[in-house]
Amino acid sequence: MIRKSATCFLIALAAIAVFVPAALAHHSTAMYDMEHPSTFKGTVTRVEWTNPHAYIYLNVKNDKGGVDEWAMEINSPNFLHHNGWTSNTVRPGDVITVTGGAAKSGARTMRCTSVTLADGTVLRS
Amino acid sequence: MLVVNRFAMIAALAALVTTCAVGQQPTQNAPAEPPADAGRPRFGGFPMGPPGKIMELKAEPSVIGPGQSAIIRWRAINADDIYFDQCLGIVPAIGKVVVSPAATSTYTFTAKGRAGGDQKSVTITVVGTNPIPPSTDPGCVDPHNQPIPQASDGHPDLSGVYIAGFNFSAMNRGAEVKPGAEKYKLTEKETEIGIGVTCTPPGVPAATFQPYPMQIIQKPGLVVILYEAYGIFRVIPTDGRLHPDDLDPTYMGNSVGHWEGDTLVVDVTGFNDKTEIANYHHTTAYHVVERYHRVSYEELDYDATIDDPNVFAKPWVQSAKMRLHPEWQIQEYVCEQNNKNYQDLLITKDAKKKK
Repeated sequence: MIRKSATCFLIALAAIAVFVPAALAHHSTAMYDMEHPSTFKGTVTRVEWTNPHAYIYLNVKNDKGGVDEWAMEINSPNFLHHNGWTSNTVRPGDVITVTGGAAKSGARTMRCTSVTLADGTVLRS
Repeated sequence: MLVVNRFAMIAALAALVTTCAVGQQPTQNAPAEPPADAGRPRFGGFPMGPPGKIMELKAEPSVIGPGQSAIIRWRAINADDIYFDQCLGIVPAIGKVVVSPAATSTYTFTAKGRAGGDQKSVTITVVGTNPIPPSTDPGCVDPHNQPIPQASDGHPDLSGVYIAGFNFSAMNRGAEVKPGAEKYKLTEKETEIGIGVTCTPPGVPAATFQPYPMQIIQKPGLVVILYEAYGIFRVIPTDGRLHPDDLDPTYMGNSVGHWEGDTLVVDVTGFNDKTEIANYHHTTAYHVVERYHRVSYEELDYDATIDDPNVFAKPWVQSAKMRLHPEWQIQEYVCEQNNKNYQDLLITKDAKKKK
């Protein structure tokens, strides 16, 4: 186990020396679990169409029979426009499904990579 | 081909990191259903898909008389490469255009994404005419394959809106930290959250690698770069002047440029020590030499030679291939508008102790 970990570490170190991902906008995604995507379905309560990131707030049913409000972070309005969004694509009351990396800290927030609208349209976000 | 290779490297590295990761468990409730993008290739933690799709394409009206005009409207989603034939060229994801065809014409619309694309056509009938075939003008047949524009002073004209951040990624060559310089390494907390979370300018060359476009405006003796991210700019004289003495330290430094053949070379100095490079802080001795070379109508090769004798053993190079987006305008980006407190999301041991 130790040998495997050490080998992995050395290979990763060598790779990083060659390749470094481009800077992400504004903040890192390290605090989100992007490698283990989660999907949540809920009702939109409000939308913040703002920089540096737009946010969709979603009421999601929890396993105790109640509802939790999640803050779903998506990209900037400019990026979203390039991908066919407008500020009216998602509105309060819409039932949508989002996929992305949830906060590793356990906070009810997530960096969404795609949003599925009620009509089945999937938009990258 | 280069892009494919870089995607392959990204995928390989992502797979390696995934393989090596231990103890990472989802912290949330079980997903209600399988992720819509499960199994798709991933790009730095972001999925490649969904594929490009045309949501709307229509002509208003679709039947006109000779000499009359119509409006074509469209909307495409999840696409990086969106264009019409019939000389309408590369267009944004959502738009409209007025056309006045001399005879009945069919306009073909293409929207390509990283995970596939879509194509549809719309016909405008001109009463009393026969359909005409699509234009065979080379500039209309392939809107991507245009000649590189030339400026009035004979240099290649680099003017245009480009992006490096999402479609292409930075490559580091020869980065080597100076012995004893580990103190400049970003802290775990800084690495985890990113120092850009303060909304301060990212510096050079990081401004180029943002996943937001930048606009180059080239005039004889002067180049201006407008960066959408953080709303910052650089004014780069190319008239032979030198850096002023006793520069005030700034986030983006002081730039002077000159031409070496078809390549614009920009010397940048006068930095403060508030930005980072490759996960290391730099000092005010930081010095960057950039090279901008437009290798085709759509591609600009960017190299930045990084030097800080306090941090690195020798100069090294960070580079990217940038893509022209003639259909884009850079937009307002006010980072402070809705900047969240990401401190609450930190997962470092240090942060957890404070909770």
